[in-house]
Amino acid sequence: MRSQELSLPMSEQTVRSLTAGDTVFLNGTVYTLRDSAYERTLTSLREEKAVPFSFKDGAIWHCGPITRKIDSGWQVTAAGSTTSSRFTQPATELLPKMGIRAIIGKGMMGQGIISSMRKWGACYLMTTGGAGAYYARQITRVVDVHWLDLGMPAAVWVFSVERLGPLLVGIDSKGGNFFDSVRSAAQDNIAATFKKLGIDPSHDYVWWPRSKEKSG
Amino acid sequence: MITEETISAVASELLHRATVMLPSRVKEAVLQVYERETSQQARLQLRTILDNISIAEKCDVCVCQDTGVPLFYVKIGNGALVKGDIREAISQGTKLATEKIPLRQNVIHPLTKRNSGTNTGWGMPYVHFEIEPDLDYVEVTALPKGFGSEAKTSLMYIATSEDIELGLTKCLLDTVLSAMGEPCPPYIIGIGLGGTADIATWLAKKAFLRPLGTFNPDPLVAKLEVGLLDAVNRTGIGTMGVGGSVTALGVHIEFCGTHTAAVPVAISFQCWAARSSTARIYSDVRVEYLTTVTGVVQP
Repeated sequence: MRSQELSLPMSEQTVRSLTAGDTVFLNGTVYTLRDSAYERTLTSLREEKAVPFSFKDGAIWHCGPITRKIDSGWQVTAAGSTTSSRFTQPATELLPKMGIRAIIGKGMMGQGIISSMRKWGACYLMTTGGAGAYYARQITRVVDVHWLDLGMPAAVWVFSVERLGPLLVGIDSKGGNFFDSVRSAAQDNIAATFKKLGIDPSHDYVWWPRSKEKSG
Repeated sequence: MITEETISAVASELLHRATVMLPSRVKEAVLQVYERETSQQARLQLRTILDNISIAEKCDVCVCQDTGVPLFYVKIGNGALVKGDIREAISQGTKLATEKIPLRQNVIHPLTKRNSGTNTGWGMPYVHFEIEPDLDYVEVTALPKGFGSEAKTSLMYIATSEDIELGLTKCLLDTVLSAMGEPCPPYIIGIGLGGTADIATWLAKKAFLRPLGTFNPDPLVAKLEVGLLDAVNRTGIGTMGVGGSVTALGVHIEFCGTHTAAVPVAISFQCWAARSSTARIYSDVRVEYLTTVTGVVQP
């Protein structure tokens, strides 16, 4: 488990030096992006309309924070990651269009993004889910917020962060996916349990939803 | 006489307690996982979780930024004296809590995606009522449900020509494998068995109201809970899916009679931030908060 501190914006060379399973901490500016903000960003880019931010060589965070308006601006009380698997498609499209180097989130991302990360030099960094109070303390300042009309969670928040982490390199830019080994071990372990209990893995116990084999 | 004002204040305080302070049983369970776990990657995840729990308590901020959708379960005793609209009172309490704590403004219209900004509207907060004949109080539980775990809920029907226990085991492990680390393990699994689709999914959710570490009073079902917990933990998925010896803190099954043709099975996940808080309001307006939140979690 290698651990290192990285600054944003990040060079392609830096990203390419990371290996799935490493631990990193980030310093610099991160942009939250999720759900409707993905949709609006991609729609704007497709229609060749300007967006009020740039992710070039930067990091986006699948995060919808809890914020409070205070005299000097905004205060973040809790900020952690939302489940990243649902952004595999939009993130794969956005990555080269905006030159993103790091996507911060939680859980796995789909296989579809791996080749894109390899081609363009980007990585997926996994936070610990549910740790909103913990990561909020690593946000030193709310620099800006865009698209508040999408609601507090879905707006694009611009955060200055200091040692944001620990972040686990889930997918690196060499085609490595940290979760592959966990998933394949889990498959083997489940097969062993099925065998022990006398469950035939090819037998379909479920009537509905109908499996593909039964539907024909 | 229990008034709307009292219920509203209690609803707001329950959301506050639930979102900031985890029940003692949950904290103890997570700490035990940390002490037992040998995977270094999982221990790093657990360390962050434990630090997070203590920061939230110390700073009086939400444990997780996804403060969920507000779900309330209300038991009304036949002997309780209530005046006014309980649903409206809970809605007012939710608005107050959203602004005061603050909670994240999560509730949107399912088609237009418009955010009400108050966590209320279009049927939210959801309030489930049960009438209890022998009680002289109103018992309110707040269970804010985050969607990382909620959106992994599965429903299927096992034909009764099959062995139900084996079928259930296969369904559960298939679902657990598909979900991997997404529902934020170490999680609690709620299983609703029987009834109809709506009853099964409701029972799967109701299973989370049962305190962690307790078993179904039916010994046959309790034995199944133990076996399924063991099977899930043998997957090795571990905390946040990084690999480890504990994936689930508990498997809770609730059941209901069903049709002779098939058994509906609902499988639901509750992330490690298993937030809930319960209070009783007596007719003399005395309020008793039941959920214990004490306990040190620092590793």
